[in-house]
Amino acid sequence: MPGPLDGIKVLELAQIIAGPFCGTALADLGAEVVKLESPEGDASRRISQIAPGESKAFHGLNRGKRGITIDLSTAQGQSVAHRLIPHFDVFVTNVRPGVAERIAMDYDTLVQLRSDLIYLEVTGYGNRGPSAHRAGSDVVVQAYSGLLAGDQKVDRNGAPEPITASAPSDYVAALGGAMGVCAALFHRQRTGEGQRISTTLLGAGLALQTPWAGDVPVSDSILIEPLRRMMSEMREAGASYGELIEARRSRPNQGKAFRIYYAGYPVKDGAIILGALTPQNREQIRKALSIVNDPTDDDDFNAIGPEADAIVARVEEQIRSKLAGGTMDEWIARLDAAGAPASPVNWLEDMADDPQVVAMEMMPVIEHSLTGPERQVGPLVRMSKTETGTDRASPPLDSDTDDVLREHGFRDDEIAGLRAAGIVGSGTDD
Amino acid sequence: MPGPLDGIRVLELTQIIAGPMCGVMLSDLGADVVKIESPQGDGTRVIGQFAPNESKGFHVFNRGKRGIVLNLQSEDGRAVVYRLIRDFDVFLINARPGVAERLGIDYETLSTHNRRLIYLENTAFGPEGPSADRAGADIIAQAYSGLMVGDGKMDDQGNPTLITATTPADFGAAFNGATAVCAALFHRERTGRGQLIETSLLGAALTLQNYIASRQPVSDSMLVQPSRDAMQEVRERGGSYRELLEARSGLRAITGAAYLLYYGGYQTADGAIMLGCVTPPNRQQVRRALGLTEADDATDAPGFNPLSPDSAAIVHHAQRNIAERFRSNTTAHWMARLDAAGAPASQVNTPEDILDDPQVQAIGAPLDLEHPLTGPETMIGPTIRMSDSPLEAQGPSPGFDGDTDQVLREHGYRDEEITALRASGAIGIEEER
Repeated sequence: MPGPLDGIKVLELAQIIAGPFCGTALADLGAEVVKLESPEGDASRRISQIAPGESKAFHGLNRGKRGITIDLSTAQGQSVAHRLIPHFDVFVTNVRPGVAERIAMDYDTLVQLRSDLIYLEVTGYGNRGPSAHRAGSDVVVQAYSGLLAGDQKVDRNGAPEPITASAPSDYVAALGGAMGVCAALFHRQRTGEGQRISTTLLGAGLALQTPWAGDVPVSDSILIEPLRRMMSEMREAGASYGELIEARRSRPNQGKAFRIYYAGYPVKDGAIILGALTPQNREQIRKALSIVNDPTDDDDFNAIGPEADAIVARVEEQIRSKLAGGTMDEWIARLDAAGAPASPVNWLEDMADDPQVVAMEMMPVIEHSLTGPERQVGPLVRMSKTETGTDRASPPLDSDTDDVLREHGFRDDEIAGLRAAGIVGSGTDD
Repeated sequence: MPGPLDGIRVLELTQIIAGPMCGVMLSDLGADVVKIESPQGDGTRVIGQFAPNESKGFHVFNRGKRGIVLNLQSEDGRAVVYRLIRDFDVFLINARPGVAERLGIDYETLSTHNRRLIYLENTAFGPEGPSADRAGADIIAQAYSGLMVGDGKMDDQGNPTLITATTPADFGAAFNGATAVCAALFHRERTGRGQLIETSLLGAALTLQNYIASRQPVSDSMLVQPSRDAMQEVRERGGSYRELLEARSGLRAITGAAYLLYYGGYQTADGAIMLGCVTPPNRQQVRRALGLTEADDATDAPGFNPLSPDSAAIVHHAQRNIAERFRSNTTAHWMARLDAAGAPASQVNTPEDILDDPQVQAIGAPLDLEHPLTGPETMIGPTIRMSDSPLEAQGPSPGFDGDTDQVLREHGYRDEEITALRASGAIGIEEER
């Protein structure tokens, strides 16, 4: 059973995470993805290299693709790429605004070569507006979008900390882009028309804050407006970042009672997480842990009243001291029996062997021609009629250049000439 | 110009975030989305209520949909789903495995009523395996998947802390589900066949850790195995979470320290700035903007070896110089210089103010809506732009039981049938019985 995008050809000119991961998501859906690299290669090839030009990051973000190398800074390189374009359904890029135009790989140029092309551009801030040309990377856009301040973490020097070792804006922009491409393929199938799709890290950062960054005046007049006024006064008085975050963190907040059952606690041999979303969930947890005298779900409990903080702190301490007396296995067994949402805090190094991950086949083995077998996070989605996933590893630099050019009508002597002139290939074979 | 999913009908039985957000995205793409709620309503309606059954959370995760209330515990209520499903292209559900079967709305059953149906099921852990039946939520997937440990943060009492105020696994599953629905529509357009799609919060959380969670023996033998060994020792002597985290970060802290100098935050005289350098040229741009020389920071100088014993002192020296430089002037001053150098950096904005930002407005993210019950509101609209079939938000979230009668009528129910179903409690909310 081929994937749903079987037969669809994607040309990817992208590096680091957002663009490449979009290509991987399309490859998982069955598309044939060709990655176009400069002679230097994708920069992620050199993040903790394990062999020349090979890294764990590059392998994970580029599985399922073939790789070709073309020097797009030359007019001849551009014309090689232009000869390939008519054979491709989709073009994916994450170069900064203005770069695509400079190397003649912009939408207006490529659509002349293939009128129903689907062209996806992933940028940091979008292709218009005052920040369009600024450099962006995941953590920068975490800061710009409000995600970072919303997390409210400050290190011991008073500086903001990245919210996660992952790159959430990158991944969400990639998935949003893949969604746009699939929707555009459906649209093309019905109308014959291609189009240009734009997605941004900033938009992804905002989408991740859907519940908070919105402005619902009735709700906000109680909770958000006083906060905004306080922050603005503090800023005018010259408060530091650490002081602003501390003030934001300690404001009256309906969420504090919610947070004691949606939080982590240390146990004897590690830590567990409670994830209660509803009053029923909280009741299940109280039952499993024998928590008594907790009024926070009573009808007359005032979550922003003057007593609230003390009550919440008392209940939190009760949960904390209770949990500290047992092990992960003991507590998880009791919480599971009560049907409560809870989990041990697992170590990501162990995840490939986790029985649930194994049962769902979420981390398949892929064989890389240079560096051997590796276990990777596979496709997150399973489809009953169209298989998802890939058994192809990431391409070594320049590995498929000759094959791909040959398949698309280049003669061997042309390829040899281009290679000799340094227009295609990574230069290492010269 | 209608959206790419113009004319596609989606029926959703979902609540909280992952399922509802997937419905919002399909709605933004032009689909007609009808949300089924139980007579108790989506749980989000009562989290931070500011009017009866209306909350900011419900509004943002359900905009653009119409809402109907069905009692699926009753046979008459289920019969309504069977009759409606014939006219729908897509069904979305996020419930624990087994719930759909119990309610008679699983893929096997619904696809007998509509052979072309695309059925998306999102669960916490996936439909099979030892954890399949456990309760889940975003934070559970964060903890279970390793995302939380990867972040490695603790509060001052040694509690593991949430990696973020948002819910990354929920959003990851929602985006991926919407991607798969679009791919399945494309497949159905080419072959005529519908199918079952499965996503999970666990899968989404793993996806967010792509290469961090993967196993690459050559690479891991150098960088990961030492910390696994150190952790194993701590475990064997019954160490705490704090000790386990410290053991895990040992070697990593050394090899990653130089990188994190320029991929992290600093205080300025009046706020904070985040640097996001991923390449050596990026780091050089920052050094230029700050006026740092190789004497101030030698971490990219030839000969610097992160594994050598003196590397910690070199990194520390650089860290102090960068931090001092940033503290000596304002955010605006440094941002102007960093931008001029082309370095990836940003001031740290707050979520409360972000809708006023000119760049956020330039990408068209703020969406103004008028809710019939609670008035005007602004939220994050679609942030993906498509030139030929643009995404467009379709309106505010539905009132509780707001569209039940109208939707049933559109799908062939006569007024007296609707009245009878309402009287029997098969449709509608309890107050109206």
